[in-house]
Amino acid sequence: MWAYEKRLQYPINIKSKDLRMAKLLVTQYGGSNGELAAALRYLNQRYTMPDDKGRALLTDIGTEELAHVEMIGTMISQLMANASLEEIKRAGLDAHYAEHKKGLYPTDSNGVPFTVAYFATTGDPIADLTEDIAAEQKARAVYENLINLTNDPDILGPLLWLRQREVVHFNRFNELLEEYRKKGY
Amino acid sequence: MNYDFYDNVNMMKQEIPFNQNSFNATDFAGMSNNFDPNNTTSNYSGFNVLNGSATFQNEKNTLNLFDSYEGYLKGNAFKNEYIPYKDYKVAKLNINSEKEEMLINIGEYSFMMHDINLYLDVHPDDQNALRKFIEYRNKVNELITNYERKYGPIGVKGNINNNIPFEWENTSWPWVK
Repeated sequence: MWAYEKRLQYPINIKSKDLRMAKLLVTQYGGSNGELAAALRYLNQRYTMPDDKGRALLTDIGTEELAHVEMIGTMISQLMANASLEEIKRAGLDAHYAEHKKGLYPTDSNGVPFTVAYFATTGDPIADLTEDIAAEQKARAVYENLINLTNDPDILGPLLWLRQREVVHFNRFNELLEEYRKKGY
Repeated sequence: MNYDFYDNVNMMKQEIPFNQNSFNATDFAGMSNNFDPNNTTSNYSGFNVLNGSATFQNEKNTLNLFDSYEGYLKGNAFKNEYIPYKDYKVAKLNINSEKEEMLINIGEYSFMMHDINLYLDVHPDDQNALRKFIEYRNKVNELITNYERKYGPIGVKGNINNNIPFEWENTSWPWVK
């Protein structure tokens, strides 16, 4: 069971239209290292965690990732707000427009649609947690790439914040993996 | 609401115009980030790559939390885990209304509660962490009650008034500016 809270985990208020960044940022929505992949990865893997620590951690981090999906979606929608058809064409978003108008659609920054093949569920807690640890590092790296591509403080603030969350999740997964190794799972 | 960036920690302490109760000077004075990029044995995660074994800072240190507002702005509740990117500064939030301020306060305490929650998931026997978790949870509940009375529901199970139109629907949705 989930309950929605009518608030963002961290505030977003993007004032400047930036279709180029919207096009790039979408990779953290529907790309292989994006937030949707993270949420589904953890929420799927939790069913075969061997004890309550794993069940709790994957549920709670998976839930937080859903809040990050919402943050990225909010950023993209605000970056695209009030864009004219001419601006959409100029930014190379006309292919997106043809299929989705201004709707959000989970793809990576190259337009490749989201697929569950982006994550694994092996049923082996060591293998799954090792994947989760790698996923957090890859997401951190992608956030850093995106940070390098903008100087808009309205975009940088949330991206720096989301990047830091990957750092924390990485540490928690690492701690759990180490414990599971010791326990011989 | 808009962003600006702190040049240093002292600025951060001085320029928070609201929620004065939520931080105190001693927390900020002790604020530091133990990450040393030149020290390969205490690199990115506390994961010691050189000898192939993992050692974690939390096993060596007691819970070392940022003040709640600082932790929230940084996106990390734990002083010994915070790793900034390059020389980017911590974004500060410039608040334009009481409603924004109340939402940020809910965000701040919910954030600390949640980060300690994740920590407790892996360290369920840490009494100190549990005490902090309960402290932040109580604060969150209080702030949400206050906000909902004034500005409408945060959760559909929260305080929704008896009048039509349905208040859950017609109070602001977070992605809409």
